[in-house]
Amino acid sequence: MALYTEDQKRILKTLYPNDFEDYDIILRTLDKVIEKEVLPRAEEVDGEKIFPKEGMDTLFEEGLVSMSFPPEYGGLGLPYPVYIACMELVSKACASTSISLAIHSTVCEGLRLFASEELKKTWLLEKGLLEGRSLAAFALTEPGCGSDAGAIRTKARLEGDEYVIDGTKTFITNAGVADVYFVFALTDNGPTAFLVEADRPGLSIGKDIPKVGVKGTKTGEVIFEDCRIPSSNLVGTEGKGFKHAKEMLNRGRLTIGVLSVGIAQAALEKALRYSKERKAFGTPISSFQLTQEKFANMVTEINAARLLTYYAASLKEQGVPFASEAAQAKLFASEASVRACDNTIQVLGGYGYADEYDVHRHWRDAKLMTIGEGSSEILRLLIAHMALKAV
Amino acid sequence: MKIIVCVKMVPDTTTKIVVAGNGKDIDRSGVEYVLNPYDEYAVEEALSIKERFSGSEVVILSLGPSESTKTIRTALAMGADRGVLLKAESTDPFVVAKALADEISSMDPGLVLLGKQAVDDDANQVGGLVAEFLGLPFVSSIIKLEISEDRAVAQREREGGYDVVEVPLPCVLSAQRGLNEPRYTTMKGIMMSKRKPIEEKEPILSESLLEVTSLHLPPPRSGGKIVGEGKEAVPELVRLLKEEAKIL
Amino acid sequence: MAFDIIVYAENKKDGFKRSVLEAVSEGRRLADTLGSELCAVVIGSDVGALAPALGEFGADLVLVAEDEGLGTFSPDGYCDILERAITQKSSSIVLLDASIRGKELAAKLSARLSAGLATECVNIEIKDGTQVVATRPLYAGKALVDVAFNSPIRIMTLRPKAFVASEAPREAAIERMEHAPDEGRTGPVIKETIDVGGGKIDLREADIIVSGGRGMKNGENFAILEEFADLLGGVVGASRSAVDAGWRPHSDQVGQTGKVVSPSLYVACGISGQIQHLVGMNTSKNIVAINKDPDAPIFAVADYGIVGDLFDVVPALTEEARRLRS
Repeated sequence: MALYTEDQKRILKTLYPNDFEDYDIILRTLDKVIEKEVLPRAEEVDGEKIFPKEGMDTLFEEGLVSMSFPPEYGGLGLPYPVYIACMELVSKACASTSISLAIHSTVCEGLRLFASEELKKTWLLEKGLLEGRSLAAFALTEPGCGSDAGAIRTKARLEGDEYVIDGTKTFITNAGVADVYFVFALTDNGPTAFLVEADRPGLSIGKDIPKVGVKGTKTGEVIFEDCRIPSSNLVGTEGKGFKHAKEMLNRGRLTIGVLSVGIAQAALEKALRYSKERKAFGTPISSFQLTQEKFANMVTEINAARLLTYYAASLKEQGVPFASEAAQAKLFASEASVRACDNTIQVLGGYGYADEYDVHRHWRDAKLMTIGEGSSEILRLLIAHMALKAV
Repeated sequence: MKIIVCVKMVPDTTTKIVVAGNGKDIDRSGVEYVLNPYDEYAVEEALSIKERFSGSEVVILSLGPSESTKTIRTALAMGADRGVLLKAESTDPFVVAKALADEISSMDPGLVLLGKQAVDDDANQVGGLVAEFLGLPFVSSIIKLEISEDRAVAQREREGGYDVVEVPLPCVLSAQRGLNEPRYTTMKGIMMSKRKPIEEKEPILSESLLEVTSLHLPPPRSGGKIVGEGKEAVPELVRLLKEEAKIL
Repeated sequence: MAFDIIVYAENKKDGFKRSVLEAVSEGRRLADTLGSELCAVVIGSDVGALAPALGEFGADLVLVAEDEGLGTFSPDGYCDILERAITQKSSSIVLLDASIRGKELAAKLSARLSAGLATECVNIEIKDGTQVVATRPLYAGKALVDVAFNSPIRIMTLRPKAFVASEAPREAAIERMEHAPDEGRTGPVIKETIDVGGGKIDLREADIIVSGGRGMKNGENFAILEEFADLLGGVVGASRSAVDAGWRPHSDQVGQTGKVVSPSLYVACGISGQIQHLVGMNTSKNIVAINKDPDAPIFAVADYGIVGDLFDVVPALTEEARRLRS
């Protein structure tokens, strides 16, 4: 078992003592699939900036994206933490693959929560978003606003039974490969969510944004110029856009949290293995206390991050409020992951820093997670506000 | 068509082999068990035949300890219909084959498939034995198969090539690597496999004809010498091969 | 005259594979140990002339089943003959080459005669005077097991190159066996038989193997290994990486999921030496490893190693070997 860890097993067994057998089989199977179909290409996906479509398609076929959705959408109704555990495996192998899927899944969740029956039927079933027959992207961020989502300037003007959208979105994951965009724009009633099909006249994809990490993902600008969509493409209610965004981001943070855990775990294992083989001063560096200290910190933090993430996911599964826990999980996991990857490069020394070795990929991938889907700063404010409100 | 696939639960091929205290088995602690890889080809082939012949049934048959239900379940998750576990253990292929054949004889199959060998004992016998006990024709190590209602045409691998063999149904065929690419079990398959029945039976085994007297590790090979670096080392290597190893 | 030991001498068109002669030699050795005689059986459409060769390797008696109808391999037909031979001669030890046909026949005989069968044996001992103990590999060769028999007739298929073919010449007596054509048998019928790889020796029987792995970089580069192998009279093998990459066919694969080989010389070029490959070749008599990476695990099992670029070393080896020839 290359990717599925004992730690994951134990957490799932603790959470689901009765159904553990089934989930164990699912994870072992997924482990095998990822090991054969995703892991071998991860280095190339990053190095050559290849959108990992084949790997994603295989994971769609396995049922990864639909697994926690109810049967009426072709899902299996499996508990959310099991999905999270699966995403940890994907991320451990290839963060580019896991992010592309995570963003897509966030949109699927948003549709399930807020869209009309019509839209749900069309996109979750007919167009097969859950099966990967179509891909989605989440378009909130703009050149002029990131954390201050309230400052979006993209407009959606109602004209008869159409909305006309004008504006620019940027840093959009899956830009250019998505079939549909979940777009936030200002109507007269305030921020509102819409679905815009990729082939709508007036929607164009702007420049690709080369990044330092998760290079296999497609990140770009999406430009709306007089882009007309039927009013039935409205998701939820006019003016409720940010409420919808918040709910979607809460879920997204669970996934980004576990993605960070996966990246950190990959880095940790490489560092552990390397330290046993690499000798300095006539002895393996694993025997050096300063190296062991790093490992102790990494193991502890990664496990804490994992537990916090799976716990927050189980709160969501129970249907109780989980916004603070999701934020805590994402905050802690992303920062712990950055520290873990940093330690890994340090332990590997020159071999960590050299281009030729597939270790710096984790280091570069990890850093995105403290920025996107709610920066660390925003999450800290959120967590503090919620704590103050609760007292 | 009713297709029976015989499968075996075996240690994962990455298992580190350690001799058990009794000197006759491997140390089983911490061993991960999987569906025998060669049997996977057989299961896949059965499923693909089922897809072509509507109304077909794929039955998974295994002889092993009660944990073998997990292995049967893997095959059910791939798409097989039901399973039968003969709860018993034996390291003698003759005994295993006899028990399997007894069970199969009551099932009236159109076709029996299995892997050419199990990756634990590598015995490569059960297929041939089962066929002989059932009085059915047997073709081993097949790398390609075409089935019609009453006949099979298979490519049987042999040293230096292959034979194209025609055989009437029912028959027994053993699968070799290259026959197909086994499908991954999907999560849906895994969850649905829970509802598929696995019948458990306790057969009475015949007498063993083979008895293990000892299991041991092969003598370790000691590494030799690095002759040198690059093509400069070639003359010395050739000299050593000629004079020391006496091989050139 | 007791013919305790009987060997099925699977033949090629014009003789016997070395592995068959190895089985005959082992039969001879067992016969000598037990104070008994060795009988060999040869079956085919035009095989009578092959009988004396079996005498060269120690057969006291050769049973010849010769008939037009026996020209193509028929498991039932051949098995009938072997069964009759074993019964007629009251043999209690049956040896066959562990070829694909040999294995099929062995299993059939085991079922028909309720005889214990040990496959792919690498050693046979006689203990306590008459007890046969066979040693065979498990877990792709990672372990060995000794098995004793609880049946009066004991059948063993022998792994190629695990035994030595040695001449023990005598004039073998020859007996013709009657053969009744397959009546009403509906067994497998060979419609066609196809050779692949230009009729080169099977890896399991080759004396010299030059093998390429991931370091070969592509399929075309295997030409340099072919040149070297041809010069030595050997064959080219491949690691799983090379086969998975589509550079070589699966039949060339050496390793846990390929073939287990035991040549006199195995030259591993650009092969790192993962355990799955090692179990396929670590019983070779001599192993030479050529790899750029001095820490490659292959060097731990190689008798001789060169750390270097195979694209420099192998052509240099070819040249040096050619120079030696002339």
